Amino acid sequence: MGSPFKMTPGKGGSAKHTGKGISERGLGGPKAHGKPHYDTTEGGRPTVYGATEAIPGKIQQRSGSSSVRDDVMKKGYDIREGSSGVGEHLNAVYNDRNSVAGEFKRRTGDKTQAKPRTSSYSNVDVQSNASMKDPRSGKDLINTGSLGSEKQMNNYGYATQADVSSTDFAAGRGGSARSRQRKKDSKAVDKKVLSAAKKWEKGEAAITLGSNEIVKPKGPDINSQLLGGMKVGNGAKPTQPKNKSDLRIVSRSKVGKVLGNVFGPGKNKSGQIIVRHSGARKTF
Amino acid sequence: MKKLLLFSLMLITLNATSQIEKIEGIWKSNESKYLTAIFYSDGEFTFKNVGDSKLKEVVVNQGKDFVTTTLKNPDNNHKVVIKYTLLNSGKIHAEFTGDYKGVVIHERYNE
Repeated sequence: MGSPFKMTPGKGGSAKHTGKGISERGLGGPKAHGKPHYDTTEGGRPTVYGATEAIPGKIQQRSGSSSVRDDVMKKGYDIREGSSGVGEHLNAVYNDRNSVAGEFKRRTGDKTQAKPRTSSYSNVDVQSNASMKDPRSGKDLINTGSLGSEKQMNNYGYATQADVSSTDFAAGRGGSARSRQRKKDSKAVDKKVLSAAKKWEKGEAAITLGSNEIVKPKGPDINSQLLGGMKVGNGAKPTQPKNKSDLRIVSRSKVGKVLGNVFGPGKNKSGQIIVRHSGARKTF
Repeated sequence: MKKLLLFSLMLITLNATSQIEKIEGIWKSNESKYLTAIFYSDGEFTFKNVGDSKLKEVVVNQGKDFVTTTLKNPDNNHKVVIKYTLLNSGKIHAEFTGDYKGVVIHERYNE
């Protein structure tokens, strides 16, 4: 036993060894109990086999495609055609002969397939009697009209209809009525701004008095005056605060008193709290 | 009796040759923006097209059941030859050849 790789069958195991080698028992040899038994141990320890050595009980991988799966009839198998009636591709088109069967298989197949459709239209070759040109004038039926004319295409050397459209729009011809109106409005505003800027530079009054565009200055902001004077109402005149204490809206002591009146035992149980501060009357 | 028969034959012949006269009128088609006015006077047809461009249509041949014209658009030098025949439905079958090839069915404009 110079080599570590042994081909001799092991002596251990449950079954008895006949001593005739693995070919007799393992690969086609007699079966002791209906099932072949292969002993790959030697002295109770597993035998190490080389890569090129025959291992008892090792089933060689079969080459070819003779697997069991190939024998299973696929869904949609057509015995007349010898192949699946269901198209492998979504764009499979059924011919007239099997169109009915194909439609049935399309619906009942395990794949949800799009219904194949044939169309006479194509983006490559259009077979149609209809022409995009007027048969009498020979002019384009689509691109004529407000967007552009053939004269523009010829005279100005426009390459595409988009060039004509953009030029028309810039000139105020193309586009929708709303966009044209917007353009007019923006032009009018630009003119007004330019004229006002020129007058401003000259030192003239940019805006004439009495026009609707003048924003007249209003009176003092009443809300800001409330901070100091606690005056409420549009007609109240603002008063300058006399000292710093008047700047406070309500002092903390007042707030505490108000809260005490509300939650504590007080006279104003009705919830109407009157705070008097600097002559102003505030009702909560 | 022979005269009567001969007269009847002549009448039928005349009637057959004058079928194309019925194309007189104003015609329109889906394929063209132009209206075609056909006039018939003294055995001769005159064609006029109403549209954006001024088209010149001239009768070059005339038979008992057809009229052939040439049409030219001076703006783009578009030239076609049109053969008009009257259909049983009362519409005009116009076969275009030249710069445009195809058949255009015309209907009466005022219908």
